[in-house]
Amino acid sequence: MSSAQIFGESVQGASHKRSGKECQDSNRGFSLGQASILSVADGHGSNSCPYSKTGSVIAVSAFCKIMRDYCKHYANDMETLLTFLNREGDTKVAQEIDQEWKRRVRKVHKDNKREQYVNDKGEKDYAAIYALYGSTLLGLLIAPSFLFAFQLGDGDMACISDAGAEPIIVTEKILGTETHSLSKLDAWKKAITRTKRTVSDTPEPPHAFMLTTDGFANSYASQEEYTKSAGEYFALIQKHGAEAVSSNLRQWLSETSEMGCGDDITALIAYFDGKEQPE
Amino acid sequence: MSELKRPGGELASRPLHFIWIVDCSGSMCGEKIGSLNHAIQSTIPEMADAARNNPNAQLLIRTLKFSTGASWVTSSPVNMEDFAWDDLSAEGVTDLGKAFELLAAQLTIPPMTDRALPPVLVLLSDGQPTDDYKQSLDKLLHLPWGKKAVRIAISIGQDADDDVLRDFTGNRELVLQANNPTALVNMIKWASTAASLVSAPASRPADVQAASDVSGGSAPLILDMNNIPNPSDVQDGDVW
Repeated sequence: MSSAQIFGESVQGASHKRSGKECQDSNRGFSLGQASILSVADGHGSNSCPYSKTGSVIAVSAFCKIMRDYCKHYANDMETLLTFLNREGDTKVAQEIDQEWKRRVRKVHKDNKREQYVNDKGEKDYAAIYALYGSTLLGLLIAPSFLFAFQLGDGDMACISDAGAEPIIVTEKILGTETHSLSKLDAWKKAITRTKRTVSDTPEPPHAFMLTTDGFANSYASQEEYTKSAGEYFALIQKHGAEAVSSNLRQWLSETSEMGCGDDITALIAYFDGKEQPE
Repeated sequence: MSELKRPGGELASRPLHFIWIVDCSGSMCGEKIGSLNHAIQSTIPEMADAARNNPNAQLLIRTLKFSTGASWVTSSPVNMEDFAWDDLSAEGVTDLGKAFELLAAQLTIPPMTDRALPPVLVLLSDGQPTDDYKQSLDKLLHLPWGKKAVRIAISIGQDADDDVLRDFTGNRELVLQANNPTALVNMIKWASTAASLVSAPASRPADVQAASDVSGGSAPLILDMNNIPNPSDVQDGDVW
């Protein structure tokens, strides 16, 4: 397995700059031994979700924590982890991520002494609280022999090589400005997961994995233009190195938002150069 | 670190289609169509300003008229900055179903794209349909963009069939009452602001909107319902 160079940015969208709204996106990515964990989230940003930046921070954090725990637990038997994720990814694992996000949201909400809601029966109305923190979540575990991808809501995950960019998960397209959200009760039921064997289902390195929030693809004139762009990012990494692309990424994403849909944009990239890691 | 040129394909703002659907039947003749022409004309500068202030949405506008039959006043969507209102005249019957048929043909993908913002459809009518509108409305509301569209109706005068308009909007809140010229101007101005609200790049959980799709449901959260002009606040001696 070659080493991963992981870098990413979340930038405030052009429309949010004009209206003075903070960037609602979050991202987190790191290597853990021979594995890499990537996650991006897009807080909804609508007036009914005033804490969606917090929601997106919690989302990426929850995904990374759960994947880290799995990697540690199965450190000596990653094949068993693959089997588990393949079998339980969109049930137990999705539930665990959903529950972890909601547990943390309740804690943050309580710790900040924010308004508690009560339903008609006089019980705590957690649905009303979750709605304030609404966010999507995309996550990717890259193990030496397999990938595990998780997606709840809009956004894109692609594997990019010299052959072009291929989506890792193909989701249903929801028209307009709606998306599946962690804020819904039983949000996990809308999660889509995929496991892929690295050797048979992904191109040989050098290759890259790119996670983007929907502001990125929505800024391109068509799906074809988005795919072309992903390929060009990869080509630039190969030509100039990950560090050069990383140092320009914030500016590029800001320009993309300005000339595109105006939404916040996050891009998180893990680049594998194909060179063996020294023991 | 060296500054590299931004990679990537062609960037584009998201299209936002705004469609006036105007009843030009004989009962609209006279002051009603005159007030309507004046009111829509007067919204153009504000809509153009709003469009200029949000370069990340491409506001495309067009007009569909119906009376005996239906037809597009502008054959294709026009950029807001190039839009000019051609005064409409009124005669004939109220073939609302024909208007829905034409609308449905334009809300399919293609010519619509899946990256567009939800279209805004504003229906203005003072009467009862004279054709069988239900089948074509049903077809319209089953299209993906038909379901997602922000649908507003302005009920002109006391003879308008609000149940028909409610069938179109999906809820009563979005059937706005305009029983005199001043109210008509206010309602048209409010409806025209929907474009800027829809173009704000904020997302929302999917099934919230779905609740507004059912007949009698609540209005789309995208709209600011608190700002709808109250018809009873309008003092105007001339009541239609």
